[in-house]
Amino acid sequence: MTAFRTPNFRGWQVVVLHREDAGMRRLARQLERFGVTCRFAWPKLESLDPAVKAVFFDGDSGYDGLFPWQAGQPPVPLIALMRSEAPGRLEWVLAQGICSHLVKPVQSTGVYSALVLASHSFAQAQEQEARIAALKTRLRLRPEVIRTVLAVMRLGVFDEDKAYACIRAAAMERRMTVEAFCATADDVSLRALLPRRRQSSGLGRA
Amino acid sequence: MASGEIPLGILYSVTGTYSLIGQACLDGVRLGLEEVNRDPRYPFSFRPEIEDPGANIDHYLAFSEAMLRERGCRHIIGTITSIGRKEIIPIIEKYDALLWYMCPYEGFECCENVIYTGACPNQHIVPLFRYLLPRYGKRVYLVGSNYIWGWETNRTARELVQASGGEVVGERYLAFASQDVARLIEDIREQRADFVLNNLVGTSSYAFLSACHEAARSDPSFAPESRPVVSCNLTEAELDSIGPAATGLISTAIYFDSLESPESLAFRRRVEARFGAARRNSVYLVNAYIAVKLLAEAILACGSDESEAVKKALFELVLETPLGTTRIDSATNHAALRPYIGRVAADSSFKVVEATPQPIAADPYLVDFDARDFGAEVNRRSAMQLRVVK
Repeated sequence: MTAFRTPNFRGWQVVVLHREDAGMRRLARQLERFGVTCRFAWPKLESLDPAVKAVFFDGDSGYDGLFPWQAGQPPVPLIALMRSEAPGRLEWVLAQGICSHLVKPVQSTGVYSALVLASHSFAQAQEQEARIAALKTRLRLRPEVIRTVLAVMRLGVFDEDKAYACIRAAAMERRMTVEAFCATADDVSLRALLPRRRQSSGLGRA
Repeated sequence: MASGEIPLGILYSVTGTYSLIGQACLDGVRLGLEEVNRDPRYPFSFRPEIEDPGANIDHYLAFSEAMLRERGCRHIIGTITSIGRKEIIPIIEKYDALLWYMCPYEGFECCENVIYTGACPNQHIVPLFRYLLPRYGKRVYLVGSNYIWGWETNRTARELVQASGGEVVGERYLAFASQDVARLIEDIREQRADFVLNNLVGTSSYAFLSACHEAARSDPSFAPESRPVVSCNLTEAELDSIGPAATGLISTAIYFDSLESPESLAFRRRVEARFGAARRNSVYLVNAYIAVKLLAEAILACGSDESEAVKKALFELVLETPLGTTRIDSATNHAALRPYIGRVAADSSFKVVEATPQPIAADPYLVDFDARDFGAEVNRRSAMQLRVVK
């Protein structure tokens, strides 16, 4: 078992998109205790400094166009500050792509876990998005794989499994996915994979 | 100007599984309170409002609410476990009162309405493991009572061990007050741990230490010189009940009764005068006493017992105490403290084996702590240790 590493936010900068009041000053003080500095902005965030690592925002008064990015696609973890539990407000907040929330009035308890949860789920969501994008690409290239398997079967007089194994080995050798390899393969490169005696006519792609 | 009687809530479990600690805390509060009430320098006196929740979590909230709502308390000194503390924080916040918490705890908390004068991880487990890992080895066994103190202190310990290239060879928990330690002993024997971190509390801890002592009779690997049991919360308050089984135990604390400083010697004389020569002094007694003194001085300075005013005055204070000088950091509400490491001698007193030269600021969220730096330092010290041995 590996130890859960103590989360550390030393040196982080965050933006608090909220009117600056006593509760928000309490939030800022608590953040300072984790080594985090914060800047207040309201009623609008014009641009996001690339150094900013997370954004807290007023979920009660937030509106479309509050953020300088496409709705629902925040570039950093978003943490909603909420008093209202009206479904309409929750719907709007969810549509912004929040990673965690804090109930107002903000107390010292809860800020740390909100930040830990938000940074963790943001990283997890990013990782998943990257995986999904890669899988989508592979899915899009599936017809290429089928075409290439058929070509190798024809060129080498192989059965389906052997043809696929041959393609997979070639892709691995080139450090490519099977799909990426198939997308670039033509008869010439496929013939080069096969023992001479097994060759016949192939893809018809030069 | 604050004058007349100021009600002061005192919430310690003097019955139940960790009653010895509760009694030490209560005695410390009493000593501080009597001194304040006798001293004409203070134009007020404290009226103690004492309740004993008996280590039963169901009583904490009701008792503290009664203190705050019915008896006019704006300050409560009390709670020992983190469960107890966390149970009453919401009500303390609701009444904008102050909780004076003076026990070592697992950190990761910084409430505006709590003053923390006990050690947090950078003041207990970190210095303890910095001392132990190079000297005793890096195969570590972790035990604890089944609640947040044991879980989190052991998690931090695991991080420290792994950062040093060591291995946690076992980790086990016992239910509160359980004395079922036989399996624990067998597992420690099999895993051949270099040392055992004991985060058990109260009667579970005494049963475990006694079983280790017993095991050492037939198995020399259990002798404290080869496989010490170590702790962040075992103090003189409990040594008499443990008896010879405590000999060789290594513990960290921000105060030991055996400290030879003039402040400490003077305090020990006052404890003896009040409670008799047989009474064991400990960090719990001292720190509860200091909490009362800090509160009294802060009220004297600001002329009010209102929590914001008291906090403001408190952060300006530099108080001479049995610990030396005590300050509370306004950034964290925590005390800067000097951790010591002591080994229990045959006469059942702690012999200090390492002392931090200066008080260190509390870092409750381990913001300025880097596990890799810690590991590098441990390994450097291990190399030095090897050279000394050769």
